[in-house]
Amino acid sequence: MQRATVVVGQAEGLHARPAAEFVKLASRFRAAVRLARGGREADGKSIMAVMALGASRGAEVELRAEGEDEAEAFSALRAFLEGGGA
Amino acid sequence: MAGRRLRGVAGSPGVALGPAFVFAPAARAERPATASASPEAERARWREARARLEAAYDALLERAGGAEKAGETAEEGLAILEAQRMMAADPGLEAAVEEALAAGRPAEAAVREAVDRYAALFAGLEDAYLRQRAEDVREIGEALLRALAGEEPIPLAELPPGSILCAAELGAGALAALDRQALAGLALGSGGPTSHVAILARSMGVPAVLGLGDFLGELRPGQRLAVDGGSGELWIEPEGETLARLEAAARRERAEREALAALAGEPAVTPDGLSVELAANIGGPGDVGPALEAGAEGVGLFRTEFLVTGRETLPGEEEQAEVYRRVLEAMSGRPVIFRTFDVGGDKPLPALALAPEANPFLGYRAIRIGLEHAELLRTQLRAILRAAAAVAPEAGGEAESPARVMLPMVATLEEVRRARHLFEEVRRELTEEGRLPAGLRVPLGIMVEVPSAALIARQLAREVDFFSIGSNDLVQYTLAADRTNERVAGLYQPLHPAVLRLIGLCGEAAAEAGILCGLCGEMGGDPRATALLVGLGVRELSMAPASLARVKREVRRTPLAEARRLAAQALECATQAEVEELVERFLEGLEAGAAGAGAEGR
Repeated sequence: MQRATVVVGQAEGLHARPAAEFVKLASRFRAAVRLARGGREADGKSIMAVMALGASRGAEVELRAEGEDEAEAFSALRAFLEGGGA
Repeated sequence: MAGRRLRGVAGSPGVALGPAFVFAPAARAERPATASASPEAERARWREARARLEAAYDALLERAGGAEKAGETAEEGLAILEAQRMMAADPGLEAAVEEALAAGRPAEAAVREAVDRYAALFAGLEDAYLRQRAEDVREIGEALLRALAGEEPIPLAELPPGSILCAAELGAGALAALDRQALAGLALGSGGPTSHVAILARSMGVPAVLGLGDFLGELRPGQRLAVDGGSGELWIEPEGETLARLEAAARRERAEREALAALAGEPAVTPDGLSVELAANIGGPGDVGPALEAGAEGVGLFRTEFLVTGRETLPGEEEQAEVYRRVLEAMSGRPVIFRTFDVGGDKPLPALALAPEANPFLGYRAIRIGLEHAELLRTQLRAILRAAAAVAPEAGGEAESPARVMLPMVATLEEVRRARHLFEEVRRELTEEGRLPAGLRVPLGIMVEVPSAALIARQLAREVDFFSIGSNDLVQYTLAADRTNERVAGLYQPLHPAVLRLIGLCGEAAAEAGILCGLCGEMGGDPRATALLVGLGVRELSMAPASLARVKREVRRTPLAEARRLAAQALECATQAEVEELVERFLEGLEAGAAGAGAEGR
């Protein structure tokens, strides 16, 4: 499993549009993707769960990826979260 | 009598007049709570309802996609519909519904419970925008319940052409389902400026007043209404002067929309042939798409701070280089000005644990931090140069990179020299490491935002590759007024002759030295300032993408010779008020000239 704490770089945080893009990207991989913040955990492939984390810009979230393509999934999703775009 | 006026919230700017169409979708048929079927049958009903809702969203997206091509819905509107469609198909929502179904609950109750659970989760969030997403969850829940009742999941309304749609509430999906051609304006009882229906209305260009409360009782279907989406007012049967004013505003807006749309593919060139580069300010790679869509010819200001603010540890060279490369690639060869970290003062940097200061605007910030914490600046310069190398063509030889480096808040020549020294050192290192082609030139420029820099512009121009005037800080420092302090905000005067003189010094010095003088503050996006700035020697304007079309129109209708005359007169003014009056007369003259030329042409 790959995991790291990442700071959300999107100007709007994980609002509807960035959350939708994140979920679309996560869904491209077979690995299970989880996001955690402040004791709450979300399935990275569920837009409602990702939005309900309430991660604004600058928030720290823990990103985890587990499964056969976890390394690719992890680096792509991490870059997405930090860089503020796909 | 001017008519009756109701006050709501400004949702989407613009004025629209038309007959009231009152939209009240029929109450959903409720199945009696006692009705029960087998869990299998309920599961089949739920799955069918969800499939119908997804199909309804697909149809909306297809239509909105077509509307986007026609320029009627911007990408942001599509993104909202796409997000709602994903919410309807959400695996988490599905799991919650299926769980309730397995416990023997009817499909309606299962949907309601799952939706309540998510809505409550959103309602408890700190972020105001995300808190409002409880609305989207409820909208989706309603749509699912309607589908379960065998009704159209997203109710459609047959609108008479030119209608003002009035409803107690309306979801973004329902708005997208309306016929844009028939919809003149929107008046809603619920909603605020950040609700998705407001964002979608803005993206569709539909004037909207929201938050009118329980207003439907105040009006009758077919009554003549006027929506003023800028002021947040709804007029019922406006008359006399009020009516004339609203009608004139609506006409003006229509003409303006048509004129701006016609400019989309045209270059930003003055009638006498001077090209002015119109660029966008961005805060991250995610902003590149909207900037290009709006017609930006480059990035005049990339605020790189998002990489460091709010972080405990500083980003490494690789991570930065990757972000910079992505922006350069997305801009495909167009210039990108990277402003080195503009932090400190009011933009704290946790990683450096800077002490609070009594006067942050006059304190330890921007280039002052960069030169002292040389590792911070060195790492960033290396990352920018590596990104420049990554997008450079394979062939060697001399070439200028689209990547540019800009130093913020330069006050003295020594700062430039020290930064230049570091820059050259980093260049050499990278060339020796084989990571940077020796012939690749990356321009190094400065932001002119401290009056001292403008006053020695001639000396600075000999040692830098470009200027970009940061008008926000330049105005604040020149008039010694914090624009966020209400009590002195009146002294924040971008058109003050003192500010114009400083800008003029930069323009003149840049022309003499043969370097580019740009501007990247809010003035850049103010169409009233365009002619003045061009006349003062500014040749690149960077702004929020939304301002590009209006500024382009100003460039295209202002001959350089006249802009210069205007600038010379403005420099002789004594007050901002005098400059404003001068500019107003100038712009009226251009309008009259354009109208005259148009009449002759016909």
